[in-house]
Amino acid sequence: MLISAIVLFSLAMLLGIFLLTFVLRGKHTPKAVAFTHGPLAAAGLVLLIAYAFQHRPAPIESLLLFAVAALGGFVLIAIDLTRTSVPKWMAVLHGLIALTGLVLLLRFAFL
Amino acid sequence: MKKTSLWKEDADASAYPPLQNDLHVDVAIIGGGMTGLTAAHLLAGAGKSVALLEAWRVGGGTTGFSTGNLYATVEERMHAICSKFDSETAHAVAASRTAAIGHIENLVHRLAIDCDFHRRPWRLISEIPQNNKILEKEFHACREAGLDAYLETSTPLPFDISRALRIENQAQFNPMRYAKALAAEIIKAGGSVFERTPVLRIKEGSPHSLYTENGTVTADKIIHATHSPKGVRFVHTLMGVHREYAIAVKLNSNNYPEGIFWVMSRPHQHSIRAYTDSRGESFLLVLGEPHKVGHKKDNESCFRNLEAYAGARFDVKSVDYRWSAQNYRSADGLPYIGALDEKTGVYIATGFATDGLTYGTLAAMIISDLILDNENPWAKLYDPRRHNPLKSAGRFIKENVHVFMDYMHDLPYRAEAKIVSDIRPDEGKTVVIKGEKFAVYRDEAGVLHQVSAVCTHMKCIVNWNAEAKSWDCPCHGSRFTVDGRVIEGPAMIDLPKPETGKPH
Ligand SMILES: Cc1cc2nc3c(=O)[nH]c(=O)nc-3n(C[C@H](O)[C@H](O)[C@H](O)COP(=O)(O)OP(=O)(O)OC[C@H]3O[C@@H](n4cnc5c(N)ncnc54)[C@H](O)[C@@H]3O)c2cc1C
Repeated sequence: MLISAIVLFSLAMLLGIFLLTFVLRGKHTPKAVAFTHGPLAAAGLVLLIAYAFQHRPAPIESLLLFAVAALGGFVLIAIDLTRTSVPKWMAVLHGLIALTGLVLLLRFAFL
Repeated sequence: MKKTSLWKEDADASAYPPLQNDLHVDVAIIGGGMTGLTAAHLLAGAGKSVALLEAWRVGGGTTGFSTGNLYATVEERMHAICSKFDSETAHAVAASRTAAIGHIENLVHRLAIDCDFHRRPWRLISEIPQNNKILEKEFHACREAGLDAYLETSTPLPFDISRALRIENQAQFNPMRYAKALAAEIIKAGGSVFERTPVLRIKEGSPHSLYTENGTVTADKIIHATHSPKGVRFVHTLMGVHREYAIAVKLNSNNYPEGIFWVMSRPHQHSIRAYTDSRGESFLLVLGEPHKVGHKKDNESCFRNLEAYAGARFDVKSVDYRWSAQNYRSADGLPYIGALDEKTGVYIATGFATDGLTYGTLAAMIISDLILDNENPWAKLYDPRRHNPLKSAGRFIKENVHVFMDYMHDLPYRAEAKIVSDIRPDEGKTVVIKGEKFAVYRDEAGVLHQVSAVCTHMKCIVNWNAEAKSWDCPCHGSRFTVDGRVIEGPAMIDLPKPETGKPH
């Protein structure tokens, strides 16, 4: 379960980096990528929550960070669809929070 | 053959000035179609200061491209309302729509409006016995709704039918002439009408501000009489947007049937009526072939199908007009009419399907009553804030799955043409240039018209509409000219041109 979550988050991260290149250049984000990135990360989060319910110790820090990143993701997609452009700082912050969550998760799983 | 509506050709052009200064009014109305004009007329007549802002010409939206039929029943069928709601609701729908037709008739007579208004029967026709069951179901639903409905086996149409459902005393008119006359009456009642004045931005507040190119209107109340409300609104997720096609033909026999005829066909019905224009020339109008906006590549085929349909049933001499227009179907089968919330004084009128000449009038009656603090017996029925998730779920899910799939077509670095030179004269395609998607049309003279392909409403990628020469958004139905100007739909901002100002 943990490994599956890591795989899903990693795929989401790759797509997220790809999306970030569009946001930082002030370009329209391809929505097929945005709408794949979100569900991948959401599926990872669901697996992580399930893992946390079933195992002790659980990666609570990364779970919390991913939850915050998910909320940020909702805000970002809402802004992306309804306003002219996504604030770059917000996209970078969302990415950094998720990345920290992934690093902590990797440390929890493998160290 | 003319590529415009018969109504537009058979009405005098209007010439109201664009807004050139700032203005404060009690009520600002965006949109000069059936809804906006009727609301402005009612409110100006009740002593409110009113400004009507129309992006193009009054009546030139869907109103002037409709069929001009007025009936108490509904396109999506009374039996659907009976089964989704109950017969009491169907009764209220029929009563409210009958009142709206009465309002139109009163105005036509009181103001001596020359718009060819006539009371006529409405008929739903089944050509084959397999459709009779649905027809009978509709007959019972109409009866339950309090309509004077009859079943019959012959009609004035020149082709064989199996059965027909008839309701007497419905009506027909020329919607464009009616719209132009209403605009003149608004001025007489002390209101203002501005044409070629698109509202570019709305700031809701106290008062609300409506920004146009050369002036700002501040108002205590705003009515979005734009067929689909402007901006991003939840109501857009509740509606399916369809385009439908019309032809006006001349017949060899000169035998034009009187009345409204809806002929049941699979998968969609056809609507037939006759009209004699002010020069005394008669035409038969045939409408149908609906499809989701932005979802049909070869939409010229819709006209070919209509011509074939008409040719198989009438002795067609010539096809003289053809046009298309758009409609918004609500999730639960009833339109959304009224205030968006208790406090802000923002009103919407949408989700009329193809029944909006009557629903638009009704919307104006309801909204003006709300603004004037008058009781209206139907305000609650059509309230846009109604909560009926079970009745709305089916269409809501279907429409939003469509929207999701449309977004999923927006793949990076993928477009219809690889390079601009692949686009032939009179062809429109999307192209990726420096990582961005553009909607590019090469006109017949070879000149390129290039705009962003990203809809300014909710960022779907627009699709080419070969028939209307426009860029249509498949998600919520915004449409744009080849140079990016908003034609209709919820978008307010034009599609931007490339930054250099020149085609790449
Ligand atoms: C093919 C077809 C046939 C139909 N036939 C019938 C029929 O026989 N009977 C019937 O009852 N209904 C019919 N309908 C439905 C009916 O025509 C419409 O529902 C009705 O005309 C809607 O009126 P409206 O005033 O709400 O919108 P519209 O007539 O579309 O008017 C909206 C106006 O708002 C303007 N506008 C938009 N954006 C802005 C902006 N930013 N600033 C300023 N102005 C703006 C537009 O230019 C437009 O003029 C038909 C529909 C179709 C598609």
